[in-house]
This record gives sequence, structure tokens and C-alpha cells, in this order.
Amino acid sequence: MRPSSPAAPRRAAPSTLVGPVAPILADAWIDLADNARAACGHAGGVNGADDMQGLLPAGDIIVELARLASVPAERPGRLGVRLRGDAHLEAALAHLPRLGLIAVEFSTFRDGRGYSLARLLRQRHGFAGDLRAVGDVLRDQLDLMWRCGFTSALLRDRDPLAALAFARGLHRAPYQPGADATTPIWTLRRAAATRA
Amino acid sequence: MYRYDEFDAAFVRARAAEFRDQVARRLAGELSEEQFKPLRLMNGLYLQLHAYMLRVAIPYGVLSSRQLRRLARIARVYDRGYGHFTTRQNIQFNWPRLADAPDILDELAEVDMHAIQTSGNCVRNVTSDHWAGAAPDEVADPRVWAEALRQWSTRHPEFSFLPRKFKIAITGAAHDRAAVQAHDIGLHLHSGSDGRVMARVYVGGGQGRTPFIAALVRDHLPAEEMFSYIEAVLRVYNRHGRRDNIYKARIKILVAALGVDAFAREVEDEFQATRREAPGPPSEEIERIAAHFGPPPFLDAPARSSSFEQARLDNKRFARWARTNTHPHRAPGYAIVTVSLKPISRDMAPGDATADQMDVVADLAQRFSFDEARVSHEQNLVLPHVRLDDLPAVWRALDEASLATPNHGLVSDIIACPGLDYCDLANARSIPLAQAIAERFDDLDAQESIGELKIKISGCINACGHHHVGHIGILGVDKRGGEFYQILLGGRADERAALGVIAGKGLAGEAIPDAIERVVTFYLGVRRDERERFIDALERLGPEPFEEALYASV
Repeated sequence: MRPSSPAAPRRAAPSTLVGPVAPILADAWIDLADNARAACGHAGGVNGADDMQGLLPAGDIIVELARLASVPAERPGRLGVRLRGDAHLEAALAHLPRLGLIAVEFSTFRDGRGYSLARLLRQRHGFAGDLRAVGDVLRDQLDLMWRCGFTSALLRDRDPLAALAFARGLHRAPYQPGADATTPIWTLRRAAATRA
Repeated sequence: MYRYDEFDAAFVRARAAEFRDQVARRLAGELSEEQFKPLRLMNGLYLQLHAYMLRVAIPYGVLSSRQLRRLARIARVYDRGYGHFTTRQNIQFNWPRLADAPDILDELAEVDMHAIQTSGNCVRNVTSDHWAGAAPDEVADPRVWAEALRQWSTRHPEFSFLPRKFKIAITGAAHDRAAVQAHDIGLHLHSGSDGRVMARVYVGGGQGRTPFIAALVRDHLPAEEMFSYIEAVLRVYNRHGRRDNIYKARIKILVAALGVDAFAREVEDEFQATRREAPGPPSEEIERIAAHFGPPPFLDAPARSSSFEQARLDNKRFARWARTNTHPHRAPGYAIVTVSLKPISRDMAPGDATADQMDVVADLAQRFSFDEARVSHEQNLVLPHVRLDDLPAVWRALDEASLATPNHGLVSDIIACPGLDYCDLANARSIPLAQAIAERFDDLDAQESIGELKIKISGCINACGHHHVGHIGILGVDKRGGEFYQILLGGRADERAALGVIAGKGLAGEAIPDAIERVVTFYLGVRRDERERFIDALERLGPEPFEEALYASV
């Protein structure tokens, strides 16, 4: 008999901000580009940029790519940007020195574009700030994200500590280099051969 | 052949342990089917029409006798006593229980095998020439690069969630037996002017509902740069391939949309950066892998074997099998043997082997073929290195196990997908049709006189049976609830790859054997001589007269 396919409760799981090792408890970033939050009436996500010049909240803010140019340079507080999978990366590059954080959005866990954006930002364009995975981020992807250069992730999971432990289990010596410092197996092999 | 070291073994065992944990969570109800699905797919476990199906990777089709015996054991213990070898050189078990899947993966890990990336939108099992290391026309051994690519692409951090699945094939011989131009990336190794191994790179081939022969994007890529180059191709595809429509998500659609030249330029720009940022394995790693694929210790044998010649004179059945199912070898005194999984019988589907048959081939591989067997994408097994002197003994053992059907490359050596008998997606049955066509041509003399003729059958437009590149392709289509079949003529999957052209209207299943017989009879009447194969005559005369013959009495 064909096994059944019950509907998933996944969408309802709460989000927790995590780093590779532990949940991140203190985080000052306000995500103005998060439409989901805007819909819930939280931080006031804004699409129309024109009327917002003087109304940006104080502190560290994340804005949409289209608004980046209109954020005054002299504004106090750190600046971050949210990139969708189809973002025109070149448009963000000019602002890279101003940015303390780049949030890369995964519209579904199947949307793998964010992994390429992350590696390009880290390895080609030298972005050194916090690279954050947001959206449909599941425990089974965390090890891939760290390897592509993400440093934080807004994880959807009911048990974030168990999820991090699970992801650490996945994060073993890989077969290929990535954007992080993990040593690929071919280098470990050479080291083992030299020792022998 | 390649043997795992501590690093490979640790990697595969950890993956198996992880999957055990995921299955336990699923069985305990902690994971929904939707949450479990991407996890099980990463380990090759599909949900099919009747049950779960486990697809096990056989990297580039190479098996040791120990590995083949283990596949036999899995078929016996966890399945219904047989397995199905696929057109991607994998094996599928059609009836495993979910609760047993972790044990099966452990059994596989014990013999350096796994089911990683046999499904999902990632780089799939890399396929290659099933005669690698044995064929006289080989320029460079593709297994070295296929193994390096297997490792490089395993749990690649950037390319595990591509728009769609991604298939790479590689060959290193003049004659392409790996159908590389029908793949997302096809690599054809050749020898550069200075003796270096170079790769011709084809991108964007594929079948399915929008078939393409791959486009040549790079003629002379130094082989050691293929990793950076493939990284560039995959990055362009990952960023720009369509994700809004599953039927337009393969790389062939992106190549067609951008145009080959624009696509190739974009890849070239990316490659100039990836070759600095992401070089492939260092040369000593390639040398380490290559050391696993050195030639076996062939005996210094004469090119002719008098015992083999005598056996051919003494036994007509053996002589026929030797003509069709053995092939010249690069080492004098040796032959390549095709073990046919296409018996002319209603009991077995193309590509199926029972556990007992797998054990027979494993024993023969151990005794007579330096412990090696191969799986071909044409769904047969191969004993790559058999001494001419040993051929009679090998034939007797194969014949006793119903594995000596003398039909390699002939009309009854049909590729067929599992079709409606097993598959969730199929519109029509493939296996009974393949059996009916094989029965129609059950006269072995007639088959041999017809010569090379590749029939390929798919039960639906997804084209798992490669119907687009069959000399005669047959596609199952659903037509007002009945099983109808469209016929294509003139496809080929070799170094002169071409797509078949749809011939006229669809036919009911029971009319197909007659139609095939008519077109074959027509060919026999028009060919110049016995050396002009079906495909040659079709290309000389064009498909029209063949089409007319196909529909002559309909």
C-alpha cells in the first residue's frame, strides 16, 4: 500500500537566530525588508521608499536592495541589506563598504540561489560582515550554509538546540573547499600521506 | 578499481548513520512525509506506485565481485530476489521497507557503496564508458576523472539545491559509448597536441519533453581544469536557471534561452574567476586516484587462442555468442564480454537480474575478470577483462544462468524504463512491449543478419528509456485512456548524437511489433550490404520511406 503523505506543520515552526555553534541571543538588527513581519505589524516593513527618508528607526537596520541608495550616509547605526535569490548582485556591490550585514533570502528550502550569492559575496567580493540566511531555513541545510560563508541563520525549527547539534553532525570533513575555513579531504589526505 | 580510504569510509558511514536517525524520526511521527521527503531523496529513497524504491549508486558503472554479491544479498534479504539495473548505471530495488532502508545503507557502506545523490536536484551519479580501461580505442581513462568528480560533487555546499537534477557523463574513447551528448554536461576526453589530457565540454543535452543534443561549449579544456569549469557552469545555472516551472528548469532550457554563444561567454567569464577561487583537486590527488585504475596484471597472452578457436568450431551456440557478445580488448589475448540482461522471455524485464544471477556474474568476475564487473547504460552487465582461453567456461556459466542471450546491440537488446508496471509517472507500459518486440524477433539468425539496431522505449515523456536517441524510439502516450505509442526514427546517442524524428500518428501497443517488423523488413530490402546498418541506411535515404513502411498496413 502506498504510504500516506500527511500535510506538514513545518510552516508553523518558530524562527530562532543561530550561529554555527549556538543560538544568537543578542541581536540588534531590525529587518525593515521583512514582508512577513510587516504583515504581522511588527517592524513596519516598507516597500515605498520615497516617504521614508526621515522616518528610518534608530539603530541597526536591514533594508531592501532598492532602498539602499536612499539611506543617508551620515545616518547613525549600522546598515544591512536583504537580497532575494534573484537579486542583481552588482547593484549591491557599490554599497558593500557601508554594509555590516547581508541577509540572503531562501524563498523555499529548494531555492538554492542563496548559496551562490553567499560564495560570491565572500570569496569574490570580500564581504566581511555578517552573512545571514533568512526565509525557509531548515536544520538539514545549515552545514551547507556555513560552508558557503553564512555566519548566522534565522532557523525554522521547534528545537533549535537539537537542530544545531544535528547540523554539527553533518559538518564533517568535506570533499571540496568552500567559502569557510574547513579543510577539504584532499588536503587532509596529503597531510596524512606526509605523516606516514 | 577505486577503494575507499579512511576519509571516504568515514563520510559514507556518517551519512548512513544520519539517515538512520532521520528514518527513526519519521517512523516515530516526528517528521511529516513532506519534511522527510527531501531527506530520503538525498539518500535515493523514492516513493513509487506501489512502495518505496531505493536507487543505489554504482559510480561510473564499476563493481567489484564483493560489491555485486552484496547487491545480490540485498535483493534476497530486503527485496523480492531481484534488482533492476538502470540506464544511469545504477541499480534499483523496487520493494524495500522504509524501516529496512538504514540497514541497507549500512550494508552498502560496508562494501564502499551508497545511495547518495541518486535523486534530488543535485549532481547525480557520474556515468561513463562501461568499457573503460579495456577498449582498444581509449585515449584517456575516464574513470579517474569520474571518481574525482564523484568526490568533488558529493554534498557540494553550493550545488545541492539546483533548479533541477544534473547529470554528468564522461568518456575517454574515440567512440562514445556513454551517450555524453545526451547529458547536462558531457565530457569527451581527447589527447592534446602536447600529449596532455584535454576535455571537449558539451552542455545542455537531455531528453524529457524538450529534448536537446548538448552544445559544444569548449573544445580544448585541460582535464585538470574541469572542476573549476563545471563549477562555473553550475553557478551560472544555479543563479539563472528557471525555478518557476519544473518542465523548464533543466540547464538545456537556459542554454537555449540565452543562446549557446551567450551562455558559453557567461560561463567563460565565470570560469576566469573560479579557476583562481576554486581550483579542483591538486595533481597529487588526481595521481592518487589514477593509481587505483592502473591496468590489471594481464598475462602476456598470444593474440589468438587455439582453444577459443576450437570451441567456436565445435559449438555453434558458443560461436554465435562469441560473435555478438564479445568485443576486442586493448590487451592481446583478452576480450570484453557483454552479459545480456535482455533474455527473450516474458519472465524478466530489460535490466533485471535475480540475486542468483548477480552471484553468478560476481563469481565469474572474480575468477575470470580481475574481480571486476560493469553496468552499462544499455542495461547490461560487462566482464571487462576475460582471457580468450576462458571464454568457453564463462559462456557455459552464463548460459546456465540465462545470461548468455547473444543479442548485444541487436534488435532485442532493448532499453526500456520500468514504465507503468512500476512507475508513478508513466502513461503506458514499457516492459511488456519490449518483451513482445523481442519475441517477434526471437529467431537469432534473423537478429544477427539485421545487425545493429537500437530500440529504446519510454513509458512517458520523461524519457527514462532514452527513446529520443534510439535508432527506433518508442514513447508511451496516454490517449483517451488507452495505451498508445509514438514511434521516432533516426536517433542516436554516440559521438554523432542526434534526436529521432516523430513518425506519424501513435499506434496501439498490439500494433507495434508488426510495425517494427515492417520497417526492419524494409531496411533489409534497401540496405547496400550487410555492413550498412539500419541507422546508416536511414541517414542515407531519409526517414520518409521508413515511415511509409511503418504505417504500410495501418
